[in-house]
Formats: sequence, structure tokens, C-alpha cells
Amino acid sequence: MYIVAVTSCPTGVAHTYMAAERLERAARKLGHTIKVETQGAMGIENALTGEDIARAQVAVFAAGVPVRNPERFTGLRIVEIPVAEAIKNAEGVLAGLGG
Amino acid sequence: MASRIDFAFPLPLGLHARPASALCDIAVSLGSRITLTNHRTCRQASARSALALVATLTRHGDACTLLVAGEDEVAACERLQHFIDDEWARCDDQVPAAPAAREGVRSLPRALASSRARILEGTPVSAGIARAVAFVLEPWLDALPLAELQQGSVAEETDKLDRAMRRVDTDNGERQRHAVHETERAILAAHRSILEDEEWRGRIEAEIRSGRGAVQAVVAAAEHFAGILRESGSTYLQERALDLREIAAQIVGELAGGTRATPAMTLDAAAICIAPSLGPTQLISLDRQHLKGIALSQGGATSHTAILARAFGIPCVVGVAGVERLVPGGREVIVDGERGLVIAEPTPAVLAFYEAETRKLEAMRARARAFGAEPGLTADGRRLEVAANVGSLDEVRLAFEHGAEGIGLFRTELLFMGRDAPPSEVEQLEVYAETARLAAGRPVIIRTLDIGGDKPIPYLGLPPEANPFLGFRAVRMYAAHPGIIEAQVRAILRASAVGPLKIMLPMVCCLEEVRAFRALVTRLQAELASEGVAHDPAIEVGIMVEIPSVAFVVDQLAHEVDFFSIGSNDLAQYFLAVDRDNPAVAHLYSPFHPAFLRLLEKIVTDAHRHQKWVGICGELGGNVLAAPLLVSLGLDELSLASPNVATMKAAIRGCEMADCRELLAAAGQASNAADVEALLRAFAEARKDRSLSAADIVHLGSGSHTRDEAIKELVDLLHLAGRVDDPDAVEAALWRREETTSTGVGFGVAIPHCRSPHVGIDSIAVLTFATGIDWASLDGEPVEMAILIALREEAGGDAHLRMIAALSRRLMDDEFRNALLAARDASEIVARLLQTGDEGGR
Repeated sequence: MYIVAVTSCPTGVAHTYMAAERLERAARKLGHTIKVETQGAMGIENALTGEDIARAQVAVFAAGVPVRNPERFTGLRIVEIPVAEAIKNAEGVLAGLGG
Repeated sequence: MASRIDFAFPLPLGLHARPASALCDIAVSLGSRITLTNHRTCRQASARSALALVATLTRHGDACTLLVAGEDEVAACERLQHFIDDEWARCDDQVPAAPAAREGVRSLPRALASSRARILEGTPVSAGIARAVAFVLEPWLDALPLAELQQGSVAEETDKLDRAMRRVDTDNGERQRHAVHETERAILAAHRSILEDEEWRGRIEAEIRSGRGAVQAVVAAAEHFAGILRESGSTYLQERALDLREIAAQIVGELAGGTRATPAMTLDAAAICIAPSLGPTQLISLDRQHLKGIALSQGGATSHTAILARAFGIPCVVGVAGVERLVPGGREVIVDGERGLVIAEPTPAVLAFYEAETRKLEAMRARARAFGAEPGLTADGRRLEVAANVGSLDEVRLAFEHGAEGIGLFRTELLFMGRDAPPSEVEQLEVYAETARLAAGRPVIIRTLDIGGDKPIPYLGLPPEANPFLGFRAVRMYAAHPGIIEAQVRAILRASAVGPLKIMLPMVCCLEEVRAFRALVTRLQAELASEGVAHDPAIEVGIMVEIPSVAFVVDQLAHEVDFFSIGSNDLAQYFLAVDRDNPAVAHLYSPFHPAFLRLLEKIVTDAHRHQKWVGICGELGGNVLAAPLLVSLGLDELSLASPNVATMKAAIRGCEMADCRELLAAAGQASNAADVEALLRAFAEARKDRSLSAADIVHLGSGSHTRDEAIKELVDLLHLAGRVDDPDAVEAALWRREETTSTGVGFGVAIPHCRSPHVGIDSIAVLTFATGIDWASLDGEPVEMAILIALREEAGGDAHLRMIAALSRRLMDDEFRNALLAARDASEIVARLLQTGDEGGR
């Protein structure tokens, strides 16, 4: 499965990147492909392109603040979870996406 | 036929005790009657009464008139005009600094905010933390038997008053002699001068004549003047009312039966004094061995009591409404002189908090002392002696406490001021000898009398001049006052037998002056030798470089002097032809003027070429921003105000000669002072980019048991390392984040973090715990390691954000976390944290 994700937390300093790391590792373990865009204190990094989104089956938002440029994802199934959840239980979250 | 002088009152703090006494001193020396009228308050006062002058409630800018009537009124007017124009403003130069008021809303530390103890807020006026048993004191005047004893005739009551006032004066005189601190002595002197004040005396006698007994008369007089001062609308004057009530209490105490009437003031164990108010004499009478802290409901930062508390180093909080009712006597109380809090019946949590705070303050003091003991060194090991400027023995003690490596300038003028006759040779010898003893072998430079028509020294009879700073002053007037200068030099020579002293000559403009002085020194040395009096036969003599002409004949002077010290304030003023006190042109004064920097470079280079050392004792030498310039100029010594010694040593430590030389070259090419300042600021900013983490902010095996304790310990680590300026505010910011979602991310790790304007340096601090702590973590497990990330508010610092983002990712890796937890020491943790980009191979 091809998954796109956005992580973002209020201070944008640590949790944003921890969540990204956990999602990436979990995806590798489960045999999925994932691209994670981080929206942190340094701005938007590893931005998701139109192509990425078109390829994806599902988007995961692990955010404590509203995701920026959400209109990109219209038409795609979006699963929203707290940032903490992505850190605590990334595998569970991805496994539960189905498909 | 009277003369008048109209003026706007010049001093910012108003006409308070010090300027009033100064005017009084002059008025008393003149024959005419002098009256001051304030046109705003419509009050009048004889200029011979300091009290009456203060009671005019004169504020900055008030329209006033001095009426002068008498035989010498023309000369008197000239003198007074000169005083008003040039001298009065300098009265406030020595006003002691109160701790800067905390700006913004004060955030109570979490441990206190969440406790059930009674926390009272006030204004901190003397730093430190005290914990002891409360001792509640009644205000002196209220505790005395005010009911009249047998009341006699007017003559009898006046006689009783006389005797009582004389006894009080004698007692205060005794206390003055035993006073260790100059501040103590000065305050007692001020009280004694009130006793002698003719208005004070006159008022009491008037009350007696109108039928009151001596006791009631004194109380009524005190109330009369205190009432006026309280109405003044000036906090400073209101605090003087406290002084008056205390003097009244002393007189009444004598009238009522002498010392038997004074309330119990003996402390027999560690105690904290709680009272509505406390007069300075009362404070002095309390046993200082046992007095650990003071909390008052009245009073302010500039009251004499607060000043004494600071001088004695006793934590003190004032303005705590109702403190004498709310704090139970005989029970434990805490006085927090850092935050301005008084805590009655402290709970175990509060006690634990203050134990941690006290340990931290002790650690900070020890660190400052240790650093203070170190020599001034640049980053690449170049020596730059950091000494202190002083004006009195108190300041000498303070200087060495602050880690000064010597006394670079002892201003002797204060020894000559405020007296009717010059200090004798013996009087001066005591001061210089004690200075040499306190210095214990460290260098001491004593500057001979540097005085002119601008400072009021009546016995010198210096005529008023149109241009005192270009006039008959300092070395130029020595030939006209041989007795005075010889006494001073003999005193310095005799004191040099106790320890190494050097002599420095002010305001030299040519070689002849130096030669004449050298000849004088040689003659006096011979005199002392023939008298068999010990002295240093090879005493070093140097000169101040303040007149620009000297800069161009350093080669000639170098043959006659042993060293040079740059008086940058006056040198810059003469060089740029600017009076920095003149608001119209003050903006032209700057020691960063490129021409001035080139001048300094020339002086140092020329002096070194002739193997003579060069120091600096003006304000520029104490300017931390200028540190790289001072280093690159090649100065051998800096002499500055004591409290800045440690900061300056630290600033120099951060300087490398190569960088500093580059900066100096750029500064010399700049076209104005503002550009030079900008260069200096940029240099300082670049140096702020200190390492994200260091061993001194990592603590392995911490004993903190709870999340609260751990967060406080982490912030304290940053505070001790000088990375945050307001630990309470940073702690509050961390808790705001913590309360949104716990930063315990699982896997035994917590990452409390915040961005705050109170963080001075981006930092990562680490604690590992002996036993896991409950952090309400995401996975419910205890936390074994807490990593604090504290960032500055300013954007730009992406490099640090990148490192932290990478660190956050690595913390998700089992191997990395385990390696951190298994680290043997703080340095290993720091090394692993700061490792860049090691993602490969995972």
C-alpha cells in the first residue's frame, strides 16, 4: 500500500519528527511504502506533491494543529490521529488502515 | 536690599536629604540669610535647615527662588549660582541601586503555586533566602510609654529635652565609631545631622512653649514633619519619614528612662524579624549573628533600612500588607528575597523547594567566587589583568570579593570631601595601609587628588571658574597647596611599607609636571629615610592619560613614568570637545568614535615600544560590548566597577586575538561610532552561538522523585550555566506545554521542551534517574531519562532546530536510547546528543 502522511505538533520541534520516524519505521516493518511530510518549526519539509497524493490509497494526519494546505487531499481517504498516537502505536495505526 | 536667584530644580530625585545637606553646608559657610521658596508647593525654608529644605517637597523641574540678604550677598549669589549650575547635579551620583523591579507578571514556581502554605507577596529589597523562626516586633515609637511623666515648667521640660538629645547623639556617635560598614556610618551621620537641625529643634521647643511636655512635644514635631513628607508623593521622601520617627523614638526613649525603656530586641536563636516597619538604628541594634531575614509591611527599596539590609546581606522583603498579623510569631517562616515572597507555615513541599533553591544559590555563588579567583585570560591564553576602580575602603573589600586582581584606580577625592579641613597624613595613612593589607600583595594604584572648582571643597578656596574642566585642577593646583599634596604623598609612601602601592598622577598635560612631581616624591622619600620611617624606595609612579597632548609625547614621558592609565571618559571629552552632560551635544560623545580608537591604538603601541604597560580606568574599560576592542588594542590592564569584574573576565575569555584584531581593523576604517557599535554587536551575537549541550547541564543518577522536581532540576541546571535569565518563567513555559500533552513519549524517555524569550542560549539538558519517574507517559511506563530542549524565541537558529529534529528521530531507535542510558558520564551523553547525521547504517 502507498501511504502519504503529514505530522505536525504545536511547538513543532520534537514530536513532529518523532511521529514521522515512527510512521516510517512501522511502514517498513509492515511492508508498506510511505512518504511523510513534516510541518514543524523549520517549515514544510519533504512536501507531498500532486503525484504522491494521486498514487496514494490513504492519507494519515498525525497533527496537534490544523494541517496546512489540506485542499491537496480532496478525494483521498484521510485518517486523523493525535500525534501522540503515531508515536505510541504507529504499527497499530497503519495495520488498521486496511487495504 | 536682597538678591534673588530663580531656577528650575535640577535633580531627578527631588530635594532629598543628600542635596539638602549639600546646600546647607554652603549656606552655613556664607554670612547672608538664604531662603528657598518653591513656587509650586508654596513652601519656604531657611537654607540652613536640611529638614526644612526637604520639607519644601521640591521635585524635579519645580520653579524655585533663592533669596539672599546680607553683607556678602553678591559673593554669596555667585557661589550659589555656581553650585546650582555645576555642583548640585553631582549629589546623586552615589545613590545606591535597588534590585531592578521584576517586569511583567510574576509567575509563581509550580511547587509554590500548588501548595497550601500561606504565601504573601511584597517587594524584594535585599536578595537571598532565609528560613527561621518568626520574631514579631512592634514599631519602636508605639511600644514606648508615651503617657507623660511628671510635667514641669517650660524651662524644666526644655532642659530635659536638651539632656535627652545629647545622650541620643552620644549613643549614635558610639554606634558610628563601631560601625563596620560605611553605609551604616553614613546613615547614622544623617540621623545626627537631623538632631542638630535648627528647624527640628525649633519645632520641638515651640511645642513645649505652647504647653506640651517634652515627650509629647517630640512626638508632635515628628508627626508634623513626617506628615509633610508623607504628603510629598515621592516614595523617596516618604521613606525619610521613617528616619524621623526613629529619631523621635530614641529621644522619647531617653526621656522615658533611658535604655530600660527600649523594647526587647535580643534574639537568642536564628530569627526572622517581622514588623510593620523597622528603623535603621533598630536594625543596627539587632544581633546580626541571629538575624536571618526581615519582612515588613511598610517601607521601600530606598529606605535606609533596605540599604542597610543589602549592605549586611540580610534577605529582606517589604510592602507585605499585614505581615505582622498574618505571620505567627514563634513559628517557622520563609523570606524569599529573590522573588519578594513571605511564606508562613511552609509545607514539606515548599521546604523541599527552598532547599533546592538555596543549594542552587550557593552553587551560583561558589561558581562566581571560583571564577572570580581566576586571572583575566583571553581564549588563546593572553593575560589581561582585570582590576577595580574604588573610592573608599568599603569598595576595596567589595572589589576583592568580586575577584578583582588589583585596584587599578583608588580615587582619593572622597577622603577630602564633606569636611572642614583636609585629612591629615595619619588619617590617610590608615586608609592606604588598610588597602594594602586587604590587597595582600595584589597591585594597588592610588591616584593623587584630582579636584577642581566643580567639587565643593571649601578649605581649598578654589575660585569659581568659567571652565573648571579646562582650569585650575588636579596636578595644576599642587604647587599652590604644597601642604596638602605632601601629606598625601607621604601617607602613600608610608603605607607602601605594608604592601606594594603605586602612585598615579591625574590630568598631566606636559613633561614638566611629571618631572616636578617626581622631584617631590624623591625629596619626600629622602625625608622619610632620614626620619627612619619605612617606605618603598622604588615606588612606581604613573600617569593618567586624559589630556590628548599626552598621546603624542608618550615616547618622552616613557622615560619619566613607570606606566600609563587611560582615563577614557575625560580623554574622549577633551578629544571630541564634547560635554557628555550637555543634552544638546551628548550624542556626539562616544568612545567608539573611529578617531578615538586610532588614538588609543597609538597610545598603547607607543607605550609598549618603550616597554611601559598601559591600563584603562574609564568607563570603556568596563564595557563588555567593547571587550574584543580592549583585547585587540593590546591593553595590559582593565580597571572597572567591582560588580562587573566577573562579567568582564568572562567576556575576555570568549575572545581570540586574531578575530579581535580583524574587528579592530574594521572599526578603525568605519566612518562613525554607530557603525563601530554595530560591528561590536554583530561580533557578540556570533559568539552567542554556543554549544547546544555541555557536561555541566547533564546530571546522571538524579535523585528527583517526581515530574515537578525533575523539571525544576533541569531548569536549575540551565540557570546555573547562565543559559536562562528567568528560571520561573521558563519553568512556566515548560508546564504550559506539559499540560497540553505529556512529553513522556514512551520507551522510558521524556522530552519536556519550550520556546521562550527568557532562554538566552539554545540548550539541551539531560537527567537520568536512579528510579523511574511517573511522567503520565503515553505508554504508561516510568521515565528513566528526561531530555529538556529549551529554545530562544528569535527565529534564525535553523541549525539547532535541525539538530533537534534529527535527535528526536534518533530517540525512536532502541539502540540509540540504550546507548544513552548506558553512558558512563556526562561527556559521553553530550557527545552522542550532538553527533550529526548518523542515520546511515541503521
